[in-house]
Amino acid sequence: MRASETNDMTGKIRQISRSLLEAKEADYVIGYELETDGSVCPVFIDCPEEVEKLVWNDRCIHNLASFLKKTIDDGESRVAIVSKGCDVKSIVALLQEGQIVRDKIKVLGVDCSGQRDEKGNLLLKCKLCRDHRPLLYDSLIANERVDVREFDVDSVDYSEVEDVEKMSVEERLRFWKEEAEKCIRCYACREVCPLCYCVECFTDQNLPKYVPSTPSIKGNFLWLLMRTFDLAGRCTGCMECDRVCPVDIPLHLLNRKAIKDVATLFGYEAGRNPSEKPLLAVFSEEDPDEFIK
Amino acid sequence: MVTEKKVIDDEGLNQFVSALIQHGYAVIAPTIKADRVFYGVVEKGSEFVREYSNAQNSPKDFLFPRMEEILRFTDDETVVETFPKAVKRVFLGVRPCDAMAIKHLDKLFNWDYADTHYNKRRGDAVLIGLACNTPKSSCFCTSLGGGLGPHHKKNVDMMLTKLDRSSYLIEAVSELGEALISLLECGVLATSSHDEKALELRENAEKMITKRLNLDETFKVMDDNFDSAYWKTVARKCIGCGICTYLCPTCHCFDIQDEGLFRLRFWDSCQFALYSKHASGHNPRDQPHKRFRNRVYHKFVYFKKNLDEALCVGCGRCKTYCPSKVDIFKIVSEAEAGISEYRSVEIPK
Repeated sequence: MRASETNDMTGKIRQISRSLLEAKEADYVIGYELETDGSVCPVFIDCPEEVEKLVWNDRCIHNLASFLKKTIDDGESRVAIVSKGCDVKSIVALLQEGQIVRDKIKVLGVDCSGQRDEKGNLLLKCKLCRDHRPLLYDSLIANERVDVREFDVDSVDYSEVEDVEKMSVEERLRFWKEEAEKCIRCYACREVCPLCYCVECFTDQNLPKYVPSTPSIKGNFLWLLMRTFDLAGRCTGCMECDRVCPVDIPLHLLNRKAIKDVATLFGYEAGRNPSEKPLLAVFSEEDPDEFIK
Repeated sequence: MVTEKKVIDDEGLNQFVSALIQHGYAVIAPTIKADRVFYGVVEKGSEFVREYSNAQNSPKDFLFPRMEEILRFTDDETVVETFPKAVKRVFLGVRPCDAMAIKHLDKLFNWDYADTHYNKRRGDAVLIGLACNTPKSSCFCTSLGGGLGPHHKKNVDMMLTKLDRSSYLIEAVSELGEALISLLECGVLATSSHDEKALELRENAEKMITKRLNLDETFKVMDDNFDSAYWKTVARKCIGCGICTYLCPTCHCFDIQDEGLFRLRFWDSCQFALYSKHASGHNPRDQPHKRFRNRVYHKFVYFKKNLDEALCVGCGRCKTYCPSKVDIFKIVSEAEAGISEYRSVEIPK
């Protein structure tokens, strides 16, 4: 990204944030702030004087929609949120599931040409991205250099998922066993997920306890699989779980497998249309049933 | 005790690892796993990576494993306590911060109760340190007391200092180290020029750590301002996962549960709501900022009250691997200024 682009876009984000805060149309703004080491982290801006902290560049990796979970309980806060195309899909999914109220959220949608890691490599989610321009926004921070063409559903690349599907059952078991053994049950994948908002997570239930909370192979397998199933038809593929995992479990393979199956079997993708009912809230006679034996 | 110092090359270090393994030691050292550095058991010296700032996990994983069996129930309705097998271990390439962390864990697990499981694992484990020549920008070990610094060697049995591209100064620090250095068949005796080089590297490394903290002032300010709204503000971007506590080399909380015929103890984290939830349903740390505050206070206030030291060793793992880059150094070092700003503010619900 050119310096002039980041400066222009940063300027627009600050300007819109300032006017929202001054007009008291938002209680606070969730955006990105530059760290001293050059990385970028989430920031909460409560008053117009602080908007200069806000930045935009190609290190704005975090999906800030996870912080909207905190507003679910109070139901009062009016929040402005800086969102990329991928993050907006999480917001749409939360709207679809009735967890947030549209009027309380001001979306500062940002045209995004992709985010990069500390080594300058484009992230996997950005290589797969088809929504460089957010699907929903209240204000658009446009960038004419970004390709904002309509997405083509047939062009979705599931090659990493297909590589796992091609494995024999034994190979696949060995592969996932090795990955599951690494899990330390820090629940960063759960906490960072915008769609993991259960008041009590199934793994925390202890009366009775039906998923072991010990980091044993059995407990870890159950955790990883039940997490995937709970997110099937809901996950929008932001891959934040993948980014935060401190032991590098490729969680996106599980989630994208679910995304692929949901797309193939039901022609559904979560987070595209706020007025569309969530997949699991719909019964259709056309639903495939070959898997029911 | 005259400490013997030698200078060896990479090949000499590999031979030393082989000698340790031959003498029945399990050697645990930083290894590469998919581009990242993790402590693991090595089979040969070449698996020990030497170019790293620090491993993602810490030696804690081997002394206080994330899960262990503590007893089992048998078919004849008796209960048998189980203990870890005594294994001769060498931790190789331990950074001074992590060595200090082990010292804190030694104290903690022998404070009001001598923890048999920890002590069995710790046993006579040998610590071979590797001095930090290029600390990271996130490091702040020099402010944390006990003389800790990038070349600090008080808590290890032997110390390695990388002098140049392929030579290491190796020295015995404790009697245990003295006994082990005799396994080293290669290398030359160190001269004063090697010592001078090591000193120069140490001074350089110490200069690279620019983050400073006044522990006593921090303690006082925090102890007086537990209820400040500052803690709520700084906790905002914390997502509430357990990464900081599980990768921390000194965090040591655990839970105990029965699974089948086994009673297991496994890591637990004060960052989880379930951690402090009472059987009645009441939770004294019912909001995220209260859990966040507990972690910071345990490091800088509670441990100092109980065992007269800070429990943080300045390794920077909590910030480096935090999904939101929450910076404990920044939060603690800015506490005084931050708290005075929030002094009159009531904590909103």
